[in-house]
Amino acid sequence: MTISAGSVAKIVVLNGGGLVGKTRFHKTAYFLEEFGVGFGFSFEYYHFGPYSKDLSVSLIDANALDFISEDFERTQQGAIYSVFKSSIDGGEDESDELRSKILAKLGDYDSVILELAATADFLAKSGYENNSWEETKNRKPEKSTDERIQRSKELLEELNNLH
Amino acid sequence: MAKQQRIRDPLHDLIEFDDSDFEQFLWSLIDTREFQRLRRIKQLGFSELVYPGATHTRFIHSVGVFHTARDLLKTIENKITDIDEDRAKVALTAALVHDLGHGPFSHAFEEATKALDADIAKQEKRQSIKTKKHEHWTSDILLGDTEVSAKLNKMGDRFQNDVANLLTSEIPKDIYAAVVSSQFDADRLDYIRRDRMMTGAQHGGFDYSWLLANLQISSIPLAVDNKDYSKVDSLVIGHKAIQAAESYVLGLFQMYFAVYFHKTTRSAEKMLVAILRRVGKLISEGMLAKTGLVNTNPIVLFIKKRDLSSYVQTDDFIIWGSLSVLSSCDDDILKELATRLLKRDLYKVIDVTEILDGNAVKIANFRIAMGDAVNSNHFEEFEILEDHVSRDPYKFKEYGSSDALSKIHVLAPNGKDLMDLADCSEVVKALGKKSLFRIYTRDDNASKKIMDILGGLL
Repeated sequence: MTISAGSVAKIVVLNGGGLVGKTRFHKTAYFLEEFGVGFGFSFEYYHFGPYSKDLSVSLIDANALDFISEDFERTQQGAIYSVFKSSIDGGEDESDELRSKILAKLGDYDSVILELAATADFLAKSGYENNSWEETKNRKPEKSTDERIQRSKELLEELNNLH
Repeated sequence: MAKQQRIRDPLHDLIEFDDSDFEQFLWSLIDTREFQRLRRIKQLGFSELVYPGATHTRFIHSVGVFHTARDLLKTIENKITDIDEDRAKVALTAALVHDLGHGPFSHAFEEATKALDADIAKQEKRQSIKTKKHEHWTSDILLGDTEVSAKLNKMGDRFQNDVANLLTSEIPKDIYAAVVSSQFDADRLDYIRRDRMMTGAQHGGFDYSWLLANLQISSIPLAVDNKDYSKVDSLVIGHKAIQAAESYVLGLFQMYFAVYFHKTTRSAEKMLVAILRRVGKLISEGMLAKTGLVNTNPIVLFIKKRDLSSYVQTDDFIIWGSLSVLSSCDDDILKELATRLLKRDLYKVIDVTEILDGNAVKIANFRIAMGDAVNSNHFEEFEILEDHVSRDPYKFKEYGSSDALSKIHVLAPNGKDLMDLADCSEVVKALGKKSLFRIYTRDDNASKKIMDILGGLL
């Protein structure tokens, strides 16, 4: 198990000091791992695609140690979501350049697209090599509109081009 | 000639399958090899080490979920005029077969598989393969080369796929799916009451009849983070059942800490995870013989092949039988772990959260210190077993919280507006997430090492 309060704070800092939503946090950390510039978090399939228990515990610790702050806001329809902020100096390393590029690219897409793309990527590596998008649609029919699936494929392609 | 079938259940009393073609079809699913396997998987795994009465199986729970789903569908039929009979049949079938994909000791086996995958990836210096969860094993069983799949297929490809999709779809797409997956789904309504009855624990009580009598149907908004994206019909409660909903939320919360997360149960689960990891490690190093297990043992087959055929051969009985073999094997670590688990001579708990008074800063600093100790090989293999569990009694601020599954909606007296239970109930509003960090130690020496690290923080 890898639990690191400093690592989650660093993700927020590299994202410009703020990050909106737990789904975005988990999917962002997932893509960093998959592109070889992560922090050692392990992921499993949860209700909404790849999820890391290590990351969840790290967020609790980072909050406790004041490495990050977490505020809650509401969508127009009343759903509550988290807003994370951090300004700690997490130091620099050679992976930061690619991390920043990945984070910037993910920032161009909303959390539904991140969830769909991360799910399809995860499924492609867990027994659904040939039908990961079909399985994604099966599991998330209400989110998988043609337009969103297309955007999710574009995101994965753009991420692969960064690598 | 078709005949009515009956099962006597301690929770629901008589559960009947009538002589209609559909209920006879459901009865035929119970007669399959995969469904009968559930007789050999206990609902609560190692909980019987703490609550000796908790020996009920996933078999009777599954039948109870079917029975509860049938009750829920009757409630729905009284609320809407245009019943979709086909969707109702899909939901009832899904309720009956929803647990087919559980492995032995359920969550412990899943955790062991995940840990084993991570161990192998680390050993081979590559990314970990992604572990399949029990819901997706269920889907594989329903669609793969199995007896239950063949029976389902007699109802048509579409019906078979619809049942599997209902169980793997993450958001219930309509009110029929909500019977199988929602805050008031048949699974939860059965297991809370059944586990309470069979453990003998008096926590977890709630007014089932009143809750059911006050269920309503309403359209729930869905969102991911700050993005609203859709609406879906789901089960909500009428405002007269707010107290029943409070008890329901509290009851489930209490069951988690009194039963599901009990320290003794968790210690046994962690020991089983350690055993399976060790077996996996020896197999990957070509030393199966040291385990004493034969090549055809279903655990060995599953670790090697990870396929459906070997998965459905595993059950609690196989694990217990294998523990007897492992307790006299040539590997000292396995031998000790298996012998102790068989004798209920379990690792002892150190409740870090309790010792540190729940102080989040101290706990975070302890985790950092533990990480350093583990990385510097301060502990021998399986000398300590870490356990992080948490439960939010009402997940209005949790991961994925904005979706319909995560909170209870109350229909206002005007019959139109929806309110969040947390906004209607001071009790629910005041509830906070509870997390526990516990470490199970092999012996006094291991306990002392942990207490020394803790001492620096007290």
